Amino acid sequence: MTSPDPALARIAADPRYRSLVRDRQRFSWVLTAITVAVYSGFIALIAFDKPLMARPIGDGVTSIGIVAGIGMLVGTVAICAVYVRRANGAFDARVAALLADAA
Amino acid sequence: MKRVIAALVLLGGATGAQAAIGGSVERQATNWTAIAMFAGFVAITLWITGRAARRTRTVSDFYTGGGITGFQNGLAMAGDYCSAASFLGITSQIFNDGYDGLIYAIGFLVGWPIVLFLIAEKLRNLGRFTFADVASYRFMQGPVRTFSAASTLLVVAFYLIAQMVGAGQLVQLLFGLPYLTAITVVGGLMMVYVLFGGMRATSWVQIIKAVMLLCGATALMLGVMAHVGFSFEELFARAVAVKTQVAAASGLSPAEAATKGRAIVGPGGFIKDPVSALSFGFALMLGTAGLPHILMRFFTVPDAREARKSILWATVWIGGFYALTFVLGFGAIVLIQFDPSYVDASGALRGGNNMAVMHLAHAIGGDLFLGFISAVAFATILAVVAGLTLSAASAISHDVYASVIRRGEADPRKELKVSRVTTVLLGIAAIVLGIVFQKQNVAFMVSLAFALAASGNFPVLVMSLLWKDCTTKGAAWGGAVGLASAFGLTLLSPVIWVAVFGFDRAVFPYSSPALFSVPLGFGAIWLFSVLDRSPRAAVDRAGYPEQRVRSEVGLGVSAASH
Repeated sequence: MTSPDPALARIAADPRYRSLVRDRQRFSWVLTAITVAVYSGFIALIAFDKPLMARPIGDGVTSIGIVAGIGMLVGTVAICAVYVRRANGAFDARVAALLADAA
Repeated sequence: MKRVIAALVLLGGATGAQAAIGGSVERQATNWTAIAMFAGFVAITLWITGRAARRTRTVSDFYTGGGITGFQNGLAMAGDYCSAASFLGITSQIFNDGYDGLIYAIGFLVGWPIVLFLIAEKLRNLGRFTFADVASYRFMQGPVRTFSAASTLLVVAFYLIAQMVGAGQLVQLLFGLPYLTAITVVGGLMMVYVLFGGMRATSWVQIIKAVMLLCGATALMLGVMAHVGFSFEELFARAVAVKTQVAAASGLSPAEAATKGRAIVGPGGFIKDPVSALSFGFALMLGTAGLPHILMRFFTVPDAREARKSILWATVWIGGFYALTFVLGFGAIVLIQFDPSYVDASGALRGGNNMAVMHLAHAIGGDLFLGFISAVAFATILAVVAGLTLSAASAISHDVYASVIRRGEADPRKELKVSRVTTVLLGIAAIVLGIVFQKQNVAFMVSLAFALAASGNFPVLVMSLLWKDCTTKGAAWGGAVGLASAFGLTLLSPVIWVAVFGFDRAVFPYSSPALFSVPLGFGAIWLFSVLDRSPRAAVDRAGYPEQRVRSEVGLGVSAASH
């Protein structure tokens, strides 16, 4: 552990810090809730409506379940990309501004 | 219920390397092509280890490897996470039952966003070497580090036993080498990588393995798709036609056979009991966020920014890998189902029931390609066990020795020595355990490791990071309750109570404890914390504001490079 840094108190008192933490926290909890809800929904669909998942799309063989499953894989990567884009972009810029002024 | 157990045995197989377990294992003729290719992999990785050894002088080098980029770390995470048995187990599962293999695969991926959203950046901002640095940040070091180290060793032990036994069986199968030789080679190599090269060598072994696995699987996928004119619809249609034909040949009426053929594009018997399914899903999802060897990888990158990138890249590779296994499973149906050299008259895969992708490799690229894919599978095991060993060694040397016994005043050279001695002991222990458990049913062990990580480490990390009133007692004892309940409920569940102990009915009816043990872990941390009126509790709570600011903005973050 490092010794208490006077910059810490300055950051903690900075209203920009509070708004940053609030925004980022809300964003990460919303995305967490979406992830958990979509995954639970996917499992529930399989548990309770197998025929729907097995139904082909159009006249072919490819089923709704296959598209949904591959969609889960793609969606997982996509939701990570959404978070990283905003956290490494807008949020990190706000962090950098905070740190620069507090130093 | 039987189906659920069978599915779980397979599920265990899907993460662990025990792909061969549960089916008959025939030792094959010695496969020299595969051995030569594997020897090539070993030569390259040992050369890297030699180079890494010259640059591994400090404890920081040993634990973090001196720093890599988020992109490299993402690949290494994929290398750490995608096991040989995901590759063999999931493809074979799809070959047999179709769609259900995809449900497992999704469970293994969906934990990563949780790690990203809730843990990764704060973990990186506060810690240096192990997740216990973060879990114990504002607490009394002794109790919380002791809990973290115990939990790390427990998780690693189950994961490692499954990998070692699986490695022995797999190598017997693919290379035609005796079990004991295989175990010794795996244990010995992982010891050398970690002992001399530390995290730097481990990272590169994992990166190379991930690239090999992804390239091998992509080449196979292209081979499959070339057969079906690069149309997925055609791939699924032909797989359904094959399964329909198989069903018709077994004496079913054309209508019944058509239904049975169609069944492979929809969910089958895996999810019967929604509680077990959700519980298992939560074990995978939250367990990923508590696996010590995965969490340790966040300290190999310089800052939170690269830590986030690591996860994005890891999900790209892991998600891509699982999508590939899905195509390969269906490809195996189309290409090898009717070939008597791969599938015997009764419809079983020759060589053991997880060999689908191996036969597919042979069907597409002959002996040479089979040799390459076999070597990839072996390399895969090595990369996973090296990561496990490194995290267990760090728990002993950094958490127990340096922080608890020496109270943070350890001589760095001695700490490095302890980590190396521990690595040797772990290597020997892994070989011995591999031998002891050779004939045991170890299929439940990987899912148990995930459940333990989800119920112990994950609640402790989340509460210490996000709840200001959490105390030393809450973290250490609450975490222990989560861990113990996951362990106890697993003992009472069908996978052990019925399948291992041989009782008729399980006391705890669901296949995974996570749905119950994770809330229990959180609840116990809360309860122990609110009841804690000790002077230490006041210190713990007073430490929160500073920890919170540091975790949010990364002030004073310790660089992975020194």
